[in-house]
Amino acid sequence: MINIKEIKKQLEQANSLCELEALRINLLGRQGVLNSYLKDLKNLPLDERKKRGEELNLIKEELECIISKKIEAINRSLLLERLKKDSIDPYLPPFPINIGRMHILNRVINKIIHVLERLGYEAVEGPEVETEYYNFEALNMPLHHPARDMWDTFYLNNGKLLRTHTSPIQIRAMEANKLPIKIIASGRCFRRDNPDASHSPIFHQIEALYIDKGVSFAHLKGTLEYFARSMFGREQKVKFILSYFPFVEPGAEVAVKCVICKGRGCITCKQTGWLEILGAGMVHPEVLERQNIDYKIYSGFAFGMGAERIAMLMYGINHIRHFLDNDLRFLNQFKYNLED
Amino acid sequence: MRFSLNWLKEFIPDFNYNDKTKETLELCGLEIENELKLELSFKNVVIGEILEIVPHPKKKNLLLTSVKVLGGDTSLKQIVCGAHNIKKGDMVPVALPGSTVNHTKLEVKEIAGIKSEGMLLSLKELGFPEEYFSKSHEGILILKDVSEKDNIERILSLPDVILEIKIFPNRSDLLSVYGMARELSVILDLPLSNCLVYSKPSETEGQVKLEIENYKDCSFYSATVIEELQVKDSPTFMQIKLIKSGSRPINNLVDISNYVMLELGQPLHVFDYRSIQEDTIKIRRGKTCGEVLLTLDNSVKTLDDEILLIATANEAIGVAGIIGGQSSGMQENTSKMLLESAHFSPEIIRGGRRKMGISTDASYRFERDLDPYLAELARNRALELIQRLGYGVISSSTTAFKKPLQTEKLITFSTNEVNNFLGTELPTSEIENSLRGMNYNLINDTFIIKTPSYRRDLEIPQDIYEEIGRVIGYNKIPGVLPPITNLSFTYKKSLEANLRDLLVHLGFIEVINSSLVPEDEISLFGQPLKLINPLSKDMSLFRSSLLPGILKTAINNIKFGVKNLTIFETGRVYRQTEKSSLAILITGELFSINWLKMNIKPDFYYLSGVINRISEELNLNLQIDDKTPNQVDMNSYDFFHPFCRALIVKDGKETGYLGEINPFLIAEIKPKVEKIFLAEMFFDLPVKLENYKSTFYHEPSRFPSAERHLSVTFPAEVSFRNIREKIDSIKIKHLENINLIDLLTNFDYENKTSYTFSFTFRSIENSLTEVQVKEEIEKIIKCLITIGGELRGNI
Ligand SMILES: [Zn+2]
Repeated sequence: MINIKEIKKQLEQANSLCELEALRINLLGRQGVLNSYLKDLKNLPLDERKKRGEELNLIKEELECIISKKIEAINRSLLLERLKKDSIDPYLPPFPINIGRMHILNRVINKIIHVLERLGYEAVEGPEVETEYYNFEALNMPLHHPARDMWDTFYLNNGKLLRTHTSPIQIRAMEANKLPIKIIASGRCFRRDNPDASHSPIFHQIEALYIDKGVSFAHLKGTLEYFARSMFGREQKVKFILSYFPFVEPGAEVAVKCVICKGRGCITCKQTGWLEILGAGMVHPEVLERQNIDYKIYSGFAFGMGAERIAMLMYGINHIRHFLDNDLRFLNQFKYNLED
Repeated sequence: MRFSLNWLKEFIPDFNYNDKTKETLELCGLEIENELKLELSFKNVVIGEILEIVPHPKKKNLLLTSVKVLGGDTSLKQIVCGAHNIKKGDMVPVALPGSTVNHTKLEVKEIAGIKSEGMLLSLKELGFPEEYFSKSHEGILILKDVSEKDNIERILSLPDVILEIKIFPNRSDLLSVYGMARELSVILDLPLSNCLVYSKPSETEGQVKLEIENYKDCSFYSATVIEELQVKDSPTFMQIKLIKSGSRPINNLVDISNYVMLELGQPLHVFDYRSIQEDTIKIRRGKTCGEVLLTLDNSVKTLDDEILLIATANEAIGVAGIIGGQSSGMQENTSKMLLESAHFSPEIIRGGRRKMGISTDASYRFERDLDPYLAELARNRALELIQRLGYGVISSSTTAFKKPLQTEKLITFSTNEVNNFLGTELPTSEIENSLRGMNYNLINDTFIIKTPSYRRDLEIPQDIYEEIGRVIGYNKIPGVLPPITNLSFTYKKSLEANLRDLLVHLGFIEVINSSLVPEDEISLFGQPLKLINPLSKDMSLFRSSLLPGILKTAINNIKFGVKNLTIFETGRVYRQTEKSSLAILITGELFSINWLKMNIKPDFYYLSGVINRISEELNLNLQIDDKTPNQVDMNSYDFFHPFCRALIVKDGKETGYLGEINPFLIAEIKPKVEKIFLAEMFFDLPVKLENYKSTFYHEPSRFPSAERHLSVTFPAEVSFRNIREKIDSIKIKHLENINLIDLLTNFDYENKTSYTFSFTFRSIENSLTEVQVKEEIEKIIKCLITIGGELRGNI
């Protein structure tokens, strides 16, 4: 009689596919144990033959099932063996993936542009090498105007100059655009100032201009309040300090609550709790009239600021030279999520 | 400008300077840039007369004085003194033992063995900081025109505060103590004590003949001749006012003209009468035929017809409103002078000042456009002082002027207009209330303002709205966001902004370099754009290329140990016209060194890949080409390795270069720099994305592709460009993609090159059959054979 117990034990102990195959041939092969019992069936009486045959078939099925399960198990352990070679150490240093970055100044400029684009301002640019006309004359500063001294200017050997502010773009927009005008101009400007911690002869300015029917000072103030809150937080307030720029009337320096000390007073704000961050005013009718805009119907406002000053305040940068130094150890400090 | 608070208070007695008024002033545009408190730091200092001076018997440089105290006991005090500006008979401030100087009590002291019963004082010891008043006064303060009844505190007008107030160039009316007081009275709503009434000298058929060439240059000129002059020091009270205002006392006559200028804002000038030939004063433009003048500051100036002169019958004696001539300057022994008070046009003064490069207190005021009526008032004030103080006798006074001096300026506006401009709802009465110090008529909500002659800045209604706004307080007007109505523009980012975004996507880091470069920087482009007035030699050209700047950035970073760089810059350059430029720099390896040894060493082809990517993404149609650049660009081209460089061509026109930096340029640099690959391309302004095309969706094919490799050898003289152009010239059905996947030069030891291509075919309609693909491959082989190709393999 077949010793099922012994056979199962043998199958259980087989631990390679070869061994298992040998056992299978021995048990279930054509010359195998089971077949030899089946051949012997014909010598048995009919009723016993039938019973015995069914018994043998059940055994055969059982063994086949055991063998196929065993094959699967061995295959799985073989695969695991192979995968083990791929094992990693999660504590080893990761691969140094790179990331591209925009310069912090352009990121600040972009942020300002985005804030104002929500109000419908369109970003425009203009030339850095400008004429006297656009930089001064059209801005209500004819030759010999004493206000020209407010901007120390670099003059060029081609009769032109390096723009001292982005305001010439306002004039170009008035020449080109249909009314109303709602633009934000940005770009590099030049002043013949001796460099110090907060001044550089090369700097970047951003300037907004809005001309439409019925634009009032209250609109300028509302826009600046929105701007200050968008840039420096909900709690922000603006303060107007009367000033003078020939192309606006009235003109003002605009201060926000100090972003460093939140208005309590610190070195940055000279203990005043306020920081002057931009210049603003209502567009001077003379400027409109020169561009054939009827100042009796249209009025407007403009405001402008230095990108470096804003960036220095936002990120606590203590010296303006960092911006043009391009030390990658500086530039790489400004991570991707800084803008929110 | 420096203002003494006490002097201001002479005109505005109720002015209380504190933090609150200071803030109000600042909000109204009067920024206090500096504030110096002059304290009363002494007590019981008296006035003494020096009766005798002898040298100190033991120590050189010291003097021994005998001083009699005014109004005190008659005993003489023996006082040692180190300063030498004293002489017998001088009145001086004296601190006796028991008095306090600089908050310290004084005692009898021995100085070099001699008892000193007190101290003669200088301004510094009386509390005037030396560093602030250094140019004004030195030595012991010699008191002039003082009497027994005076006391030092009152003579020095202490305590006081010196305010330095920033004055905008449109407010010439604030360049004087009186003008500033008048402004403060308006801002703070305080009464102004009006005491500017001085008698006019009688107009005599004077000995001076006045000839004004053009009243446009000079609308008022007054010449007063004063005789029997007594030139001496001016009274101490006046000297102190000058010193506190930052002016240096000289002598009584010069001081009076400075005093009147500080008080009222009108510059005056005095000429030694001996220099006035033929008793004639001509106010005329300079002659272009080489007229010259030796000015008071001892320099010879060439004159021309853009400079206004004060001249006698024969020669110039001064530049109008700017500086006097050496020959007409007052001498010690002068007994007769001519006092000038005039109104010159701001344009002529400013033009002349810039041309001659001389700036004076007088030119500063004239070029800011003074009140034309001020000249007469100031003259009367000066004459009043001269007569009262007994410095001279008026012998004649002549005036010439245009009539009227100024046409009346009227500004008309309504309550409505004010409210529309400010965005407020002010009632007429409140506007009326805010028009302090203005002369106006009100007819049914319409204001007609007659502007004061000194307010040169008031011309249009907006100027008055500003005044109303500041009295009301701009910070009290509520802000309102304007309606967002004008969102009609089509949003398009500039090319520069697109390039920046794209390069950041490609993993590059943006840098920003200076636009002003040194004169000796490798000139990359023909004629540089030069600054006429550079700050330094290092910043004297406007850059013609971004390459030297970005290269400098790379080298600086390499010196700091950052050796792997993938950086870019966009910015403006000047090459005959202003252009927008993009520069890219790559050096080292793409990734920082790592234990996985995974890295890429970027080279020329990596860079050309970047440019190709830019071209494709922004549809710029850039091509890389090896033709020689035109003459003017040759300099730039030499920046590159002679065998590793190429042109970037856009729409058939040269637009930039790329390649390895010329090794000669970095050979000297330490630490040693690895290969650096650079590219730069230029775009005309205005930079817009002219070829911008909207992207439309294409259905991707759902059928499998068929890929075939083809290896073909060509003689070396057949370039890849020939091969590529040949393939592009034939029509190949279902071709999706061609890739060059292998390249072998000197193949089979022959002068041949082997190229292996991978062709990908795909149909959008069905799966391609073997026959269909074979047919296309045969077509390609056949065409390559016509240009010398030999088939090596076909998989
Ligand atoms: Zn602060």
